Amino acid sequence: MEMYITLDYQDEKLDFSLKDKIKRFKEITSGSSDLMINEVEICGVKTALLSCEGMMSTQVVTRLVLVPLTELNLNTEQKIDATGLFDHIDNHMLLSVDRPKADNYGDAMRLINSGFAVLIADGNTQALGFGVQGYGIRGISEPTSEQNIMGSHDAFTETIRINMSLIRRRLKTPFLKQELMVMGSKSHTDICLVYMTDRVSKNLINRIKKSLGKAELETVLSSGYIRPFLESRKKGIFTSVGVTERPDVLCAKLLEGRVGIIVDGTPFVTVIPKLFVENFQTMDDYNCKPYYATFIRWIKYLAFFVSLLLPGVYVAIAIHHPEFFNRSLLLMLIEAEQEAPLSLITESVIVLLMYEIIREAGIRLPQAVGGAVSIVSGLIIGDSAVKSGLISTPMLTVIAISVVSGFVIPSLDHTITVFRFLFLISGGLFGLYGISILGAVMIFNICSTESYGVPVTGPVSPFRMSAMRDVMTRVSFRKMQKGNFTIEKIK
Amino acid sequence: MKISYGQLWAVLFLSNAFTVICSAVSYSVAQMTGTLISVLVQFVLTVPVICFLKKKKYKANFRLPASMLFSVYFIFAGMISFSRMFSILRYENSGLTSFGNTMIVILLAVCVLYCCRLGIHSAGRSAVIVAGLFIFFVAVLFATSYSQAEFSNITSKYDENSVWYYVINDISNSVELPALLILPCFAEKNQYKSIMLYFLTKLILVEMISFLGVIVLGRASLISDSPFFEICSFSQPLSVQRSDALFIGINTLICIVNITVDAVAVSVFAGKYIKYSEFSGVVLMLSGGIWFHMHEIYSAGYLSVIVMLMLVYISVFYRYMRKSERGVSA
Repeated sequence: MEMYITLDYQDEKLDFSLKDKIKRFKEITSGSSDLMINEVEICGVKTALLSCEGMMSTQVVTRLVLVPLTELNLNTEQKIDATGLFDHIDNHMLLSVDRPKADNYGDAMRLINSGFAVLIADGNTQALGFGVQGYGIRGISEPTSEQNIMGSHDAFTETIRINMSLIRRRLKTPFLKQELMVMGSKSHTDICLVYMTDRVSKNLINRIKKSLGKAELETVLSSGYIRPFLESRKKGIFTSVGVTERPDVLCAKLLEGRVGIIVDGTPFVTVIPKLFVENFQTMDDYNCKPYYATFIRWIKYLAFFVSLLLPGVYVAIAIHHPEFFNRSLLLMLIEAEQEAPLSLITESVIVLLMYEIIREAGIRLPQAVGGAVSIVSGLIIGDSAVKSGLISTPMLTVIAISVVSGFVIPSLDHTITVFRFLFLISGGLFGLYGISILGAVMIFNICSTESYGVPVTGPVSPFRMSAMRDVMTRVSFRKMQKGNFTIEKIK
Repeated sequence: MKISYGQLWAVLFLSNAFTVICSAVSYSVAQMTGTLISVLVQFVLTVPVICFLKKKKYKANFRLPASMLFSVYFIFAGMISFSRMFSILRYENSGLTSFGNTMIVILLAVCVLYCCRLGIHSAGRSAVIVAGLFIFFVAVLFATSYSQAEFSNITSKYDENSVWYYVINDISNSVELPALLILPCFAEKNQYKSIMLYFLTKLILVEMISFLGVIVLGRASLISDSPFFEICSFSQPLSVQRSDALFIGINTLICIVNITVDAVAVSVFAGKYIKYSEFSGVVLMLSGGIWFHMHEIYSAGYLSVIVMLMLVYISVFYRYMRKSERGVSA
């Protein structure tokens, strides 16, 4: 399914004459120097091979296309024309595995810009493409964002064909379907819909295609460009669209009846629908004993709440409900806060802000300067600020625990970062009541979010006992192999 | 959009949980016995409705008089919830003045307005999550209060009120009773299961909390304004802080869920006849709640609930019984 905006040349049929075709191609590309045109006569027919420099492999095109074509000798009594020549090449010669055809300038340009060598001839309105791509690609490496210990260590790359092969290598079943399409009126980016035909409903696929069809983008440079069109709610706090860099994670999701969307040019694959509890699941959970995996899962749940709520709850109780602390803890806090010149809420906001600034600086700085950031943040802010009495030690400890806990769930980092501030302010102003009210807003918001009809709070709410085996605990594979779980069961 | 029977149960359960938390009733053996009888009486009264729901589906096709009556009930229930929230704010003083407490309740009302715009399905799912949290916190309360238990309180007679006093007290404080007859129209199927499950869990919850109150507080519950929070003050999870903090949080969440469901119900029933019924409903609930708080009305009142119950019972159930006799589907 092709989705690109019609421009002047897109649907224009190829000219009959070779000279006119070459002239038109030069006009379309405005004489771009990377368009290579090699004119050659094959069996008496004037032809030209068009390609994009740097996009195709010179060796491959020479060995597999140019040499066989120029050595072609058709022993026929009648003189062959362009149509007959193309017919012979298409049906009797296997010059490459990928052999698309084009009959308009739009398709032909797309093939050339995708690294195909395109053969045109004098006397017909067709073009033959040969898949001889040879542009530079990054090799398969370890994932940068989803680390694990015992699972596989390969990740998706920027090349869509390699990503498709990584999935196919793991799911050697004919039910795995990979459907290619094009998005972006200028970029003509290849997009691939991946799903299991025996697990996914046709309705879901149609809805996803409809959503993608609404995206009238000029360029699609990463999966982030199309994700807003796949989100069910504009004002959802948590995203209903998943992202993964790992082929093994994607394959596991495909088997649960989800759909993957691979975008050429980015190693991050979009997965829909997504459940909120998936933020706490990693591939490592399935490589260790169930009791340990369950323990780690609950550590992550606890870390989420600690990261989100600890600073706000601490400030709320310290300011509004100090009687809730036990005596020794209260006296310790009083002693520490007595010397701090700033109010608790101001202190906490400043420390959190400083941490966010340092973190952002750490991401953007070149590696060589990274060490200086650590020294500045550790010594100057951490040590000196406490010794000078500007910031109290308990406050710094609370913020540090909260921040470190947030590292446990990197997929929720953005939401936790912002809402941590909001909980802090609401707790400081209204105490535990303020935190509860904001918590209620968050709960209601996430409960109203659905991902293509699937509530993201499932299987907790709506409650599905059969699916809870991988939420509250991580049951053994002996139990998991019974009763194939699919995302449709959450509805 | 409809909710499941499990979500309906969660909504009803939370309505009762809010009553339990905000109740000023003292804990004693007489209170436990009275509550047990009260729940059984309430269950018996709703048996015909349960039997009816087992056979027929309950749809919300009510005409103007019934719709207005139900809307009035839910607004009344929302007023009670707001006034109870004020009572908790006054007891568990956050250090703010009464103006500050009023600001918290107004903020709560704004939150409710946002939540009811998200629809009944969102309220249903949220109710399940909040109910789960509440049950967990009650378990924490039990686990951390046992060290303060005095089992001799069970046999000591410190409460002079009779069992029948507590029977009537429990019925009059059960604001959610008419909701049992009206809210099933929001559920897709198996509506009767949610009512049966509600009574079972109500009985378990109330008796367990009462038992805990008897063994932990004993005589002290007679003089406490909020016996439930008094129990919380005795429990210290991890010996870091008291359980009050947990229940302040969960109580606020439960209050928001309850009022949201009330506001959504008002918009469903009155929305056909009145514009901006959600907003008007919440404003009325808040105003009424402030008025009730100023006059220290925190319980439903005997008369109002009984009349409401009778009216709702007659108008809803009888209508369907007559229709089923005539062979008209509900």
